[in-house]
Amino acid sequence: MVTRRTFLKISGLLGVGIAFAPGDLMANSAKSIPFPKKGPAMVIDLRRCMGCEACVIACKTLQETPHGVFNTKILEAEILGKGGMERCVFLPTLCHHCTDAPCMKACPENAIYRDGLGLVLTDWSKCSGEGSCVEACPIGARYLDPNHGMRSGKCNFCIERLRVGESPACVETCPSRARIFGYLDRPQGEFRYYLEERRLYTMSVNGPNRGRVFYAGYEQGPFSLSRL
Amino acid sequence: MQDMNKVHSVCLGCNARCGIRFHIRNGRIEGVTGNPYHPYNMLGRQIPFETPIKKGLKATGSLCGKARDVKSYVYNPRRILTPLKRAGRRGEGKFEPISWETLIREIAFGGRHFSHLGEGRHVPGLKDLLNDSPLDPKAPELGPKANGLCFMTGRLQPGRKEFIDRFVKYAFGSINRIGHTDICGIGFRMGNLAFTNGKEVELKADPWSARYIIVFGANVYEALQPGVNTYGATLAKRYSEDGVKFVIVDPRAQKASVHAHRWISILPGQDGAFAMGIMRWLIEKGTFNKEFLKCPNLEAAKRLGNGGFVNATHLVIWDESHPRDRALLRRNDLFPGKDDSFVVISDQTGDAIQYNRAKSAILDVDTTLSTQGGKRRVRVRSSFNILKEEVMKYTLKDYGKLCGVEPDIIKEVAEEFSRYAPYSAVCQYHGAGNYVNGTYSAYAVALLNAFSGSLQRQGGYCSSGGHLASYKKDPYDLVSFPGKKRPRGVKISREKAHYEDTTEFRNMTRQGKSPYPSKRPWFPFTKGGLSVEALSGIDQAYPYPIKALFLYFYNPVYSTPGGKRFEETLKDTEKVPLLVSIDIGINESNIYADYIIPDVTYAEGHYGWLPPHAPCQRFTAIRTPAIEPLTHRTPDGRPIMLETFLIDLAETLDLPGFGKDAIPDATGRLHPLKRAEDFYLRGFANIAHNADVTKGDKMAIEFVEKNYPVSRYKGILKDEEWKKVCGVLARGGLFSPYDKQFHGEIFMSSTTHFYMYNERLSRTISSTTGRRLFGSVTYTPPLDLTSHDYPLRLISFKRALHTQSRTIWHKTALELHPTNFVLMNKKDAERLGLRDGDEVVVRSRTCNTGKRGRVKATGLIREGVVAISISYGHSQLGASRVDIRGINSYAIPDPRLGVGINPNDLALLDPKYGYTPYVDEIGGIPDFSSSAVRVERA
Repeated sequence: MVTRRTFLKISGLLGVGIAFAPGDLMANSAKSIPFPKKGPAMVIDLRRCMGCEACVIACKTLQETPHGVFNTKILEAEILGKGGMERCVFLPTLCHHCTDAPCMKACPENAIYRDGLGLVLTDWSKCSGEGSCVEACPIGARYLDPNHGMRSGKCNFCIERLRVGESPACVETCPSRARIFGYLDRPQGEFRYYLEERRLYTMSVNGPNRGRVFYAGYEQGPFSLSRL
Repeated sequence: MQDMNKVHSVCLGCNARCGIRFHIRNGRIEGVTGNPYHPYNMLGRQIPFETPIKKGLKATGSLCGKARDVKSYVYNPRRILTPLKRAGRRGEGKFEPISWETLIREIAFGGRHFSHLGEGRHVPGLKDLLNDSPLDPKAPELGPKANGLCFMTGRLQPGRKEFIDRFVKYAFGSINRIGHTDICGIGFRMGNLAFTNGKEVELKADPWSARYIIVFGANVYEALQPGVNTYGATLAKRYSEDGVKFVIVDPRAQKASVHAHRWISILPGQDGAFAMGIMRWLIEKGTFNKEFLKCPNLEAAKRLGNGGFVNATHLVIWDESHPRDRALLRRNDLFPGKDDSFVVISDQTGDAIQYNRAKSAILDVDTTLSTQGGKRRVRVRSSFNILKEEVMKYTLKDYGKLCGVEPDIIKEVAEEFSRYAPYSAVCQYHGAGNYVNGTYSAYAVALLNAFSGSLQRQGGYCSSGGHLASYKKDPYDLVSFPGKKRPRGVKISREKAHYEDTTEFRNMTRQGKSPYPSKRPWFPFTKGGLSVEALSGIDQAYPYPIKALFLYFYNPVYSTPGGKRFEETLKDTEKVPLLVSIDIGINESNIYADYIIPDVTYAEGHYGWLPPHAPCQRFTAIRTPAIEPLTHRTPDGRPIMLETFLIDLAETLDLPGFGKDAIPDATGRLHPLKRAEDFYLRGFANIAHNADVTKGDKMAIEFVEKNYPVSRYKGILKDEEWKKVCGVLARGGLFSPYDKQFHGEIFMSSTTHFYMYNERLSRTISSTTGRRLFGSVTYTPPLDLTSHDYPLRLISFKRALHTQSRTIWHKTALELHPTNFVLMNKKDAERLGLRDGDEVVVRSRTCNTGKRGRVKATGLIREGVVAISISYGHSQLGASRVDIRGINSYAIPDPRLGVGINPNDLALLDPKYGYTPYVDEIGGIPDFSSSAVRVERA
């Protein structure tokens, strides 16, 4: 059953028009925050993200999520930047595939599991659409999918694409290559550079999130987001 | 389940023309990705052309969100697939299907085709206009009766452009094939037109190597050509890597403000004042690139690493009593009988010498020289001296006040601009100059690049590298054909025509009346493509009435500021006796059409050969279909689309250049033009031949033959031609790497001569004042239409997921952003007692009833300015009910398609010219920045 709060969340982070404050982006060197050691991960360079939303469309047209719901979105805000200059800032968001996933703990049916790659996935044969996971997710990445019997849905890192050696659709389409994808146990190219050389940030909601999505190039904040 | 087919083609989600890879299953589009052979999908660094297809297919490029939404566009239920004929009054929204033969016959021959609706008139057919006698015997200069056909093109690209020109201009003989450069962004192009004397208008800062870019009215992260996927994305990636600095000069902090070094919230229409303020500071402090400006010719400039020079040192005759006053001084002005080369003062000898003899010349000259072999002394001034005087007419403080920017900021930008020279350049687009008096504004902006000395060099202000190979000739001649006509006369838009050459002018002069101002402006000095003035001309029957109007993929009522004014033009069967539209849906303009011919989308057709807009890139990208056309077929099985329509009309009217013996080859043999592929495949064969493509490799041929729908027509070409063509098609075109476009740092281009003083401009007489125009930069204020009742200035912009009128069908974009907003500064909102999200009504003097929308109160826009994005606020394309007999697609309106405001509906009209849309009287630039509005709580 969708409670009012769940509904707000659905139409909040991943839907339209509700204010959302994901909290601060916290600086953490690769050492101080324990990375998952293996499996896929994504670095999003905020110094590259144009807010063009090509990723959002690529994701949506592939995943066909329910109306008004998106597995990835770009949060947009305005800040008073250096020298008193007003400017836009963007924050692409998606499921972080948390190491310590609150959704997994919240599920009374044990429908949420971690697969061999380390991704947090939902077994729809077990999911009844009970909805605790939706409430539990601190960044509102989950929703109940009316197109699939109200099962719990979210980003799965395009797992079907990963299986055939491709990267997630959002990564593939990003014009400025702001989303950099790779495997933590065998980092290559730019992905390796970001892991080794760049200061990375993670979203902090109720403590740092040890997930598989990291941010680079974060300059100004905190992200206190207003509607846009 | 079948295998996936892949086709490399070119996107048309907007005009940027990125490459695209279609993924097709069972003849339907399953998805799209970027083409890695195409630089636009690879941030300018594509995989080598030689990469074998199999390997190339493993790579992929990026694509923007417009392209990614292609399925909802192509498979939209509101596409029209069969020809329609009006079944009610014009604009009433009633149509019925019409058979192909009847359609062609009625449009070709005319008749009382609407008598059953109570319209007794004879509707002219093209046959009635196919006549070489003058349309006005008293004014033969206007051209033949054939000019009564006006064919206006909206989103046209090379390929179809040549096809339409072949029909309209060279087979039918009408001069009136009118483009839409004006609403596309003629303003900044007018600046470049003056700067290059018409040689090239598409110049921009090289995004791959420039280090400091001033972005004037170019929405780099949301629009532009090259688009989001290329220009903006390159800047963003470079920002993260090398910290490239770019300054946004725009009343609205566009998305690019996220990474911008500065956002200068300029007053709309004042780009010229800002640019001239920079010039003033640089001249005063002497911190401009003098060495470059002193180069009098290309050789000298090349020594500095530039592929172009500017005529700053060239002398101009400045003497009202001289017959060539305001013209550039020529050697034969000084010494009769000598050649006509330009003259400079050598800074070694102090002598007046030919420009191409000097290595360096004196920049600031105001002197007298003896001319005509010593018979008379004449005052001459260097281009720089003339410009300097104009620039110095205002102080930095004045310029600051005019453009609404602190003088200190102008100073700082000027200093930074000079510090990064010659790697500092300007990127100007739609916003820089698309308003009344925009010509000189954009000219000033373009000239900044002369001051940094960045012309035609890596990291500077560069033109496009153009085509890699021509479609025109060898082995097939796509230009000439037996019986080809030469269009004559004056375009209905009066572009590139001189008022002084008209009978009207002579008659008035003879009668002793002042011929000025002309009834409507004439535009001898313009880039052309003046769709707005064409429609205004049609409305006012000036300089002559037209008989038939064809609209191709063009929705002027929606896309023109003040375009709603043309509803009454299109509705009027006297002003437009025959109205035909070729389009994919029923929009705000063709709702008035007598006939609508369904067309294909770019996934199904729109064959083309496409050169870059991008600076320093050189390619000929090729668009071919990825799927079979969805439109219905003619009785003989050809898909109904633009080309099929024009071919059958031409054959019915027995026009040259179409039908059985139409396309000559090198041996003089004639080949047929009976279907689109007959034309385009031969163009591709020429391209492959001229690029010296050796036979395509086996892998490429197999790939094309297995995947590309066009390979069905390979029999049109000789086997060896087809194999070469496959080498090109397989990669989506011919591409040359960025690094190859330079000699050292010199960008190799044919545009090498730039003009700080343009004598053609100075010799142009304004048809509205009778006075000559100024030949260099001069400050011209924009319109101020604000008043106590309408205190806010309205501007518009594009969002990254939309183009102008044709993306409202993009389902995902609409789901993500179901409406647009009325953006206004927080302080303005507060003054009006409005809060973010409040529902408001925006009114203007034209649109008194107002338009309802929601406020977005933001700091990202200048106070006193309201911005509304284009693409929303449709009344057609499914937003209203249209009855089509036997077809349900428009029966039930979808209110989601009509949400939001179209800012063009609020634009003001010019009372001076019959309340038609405002245009700049030099270039014919429509006004996108001056309309005044009031915002009230709903």
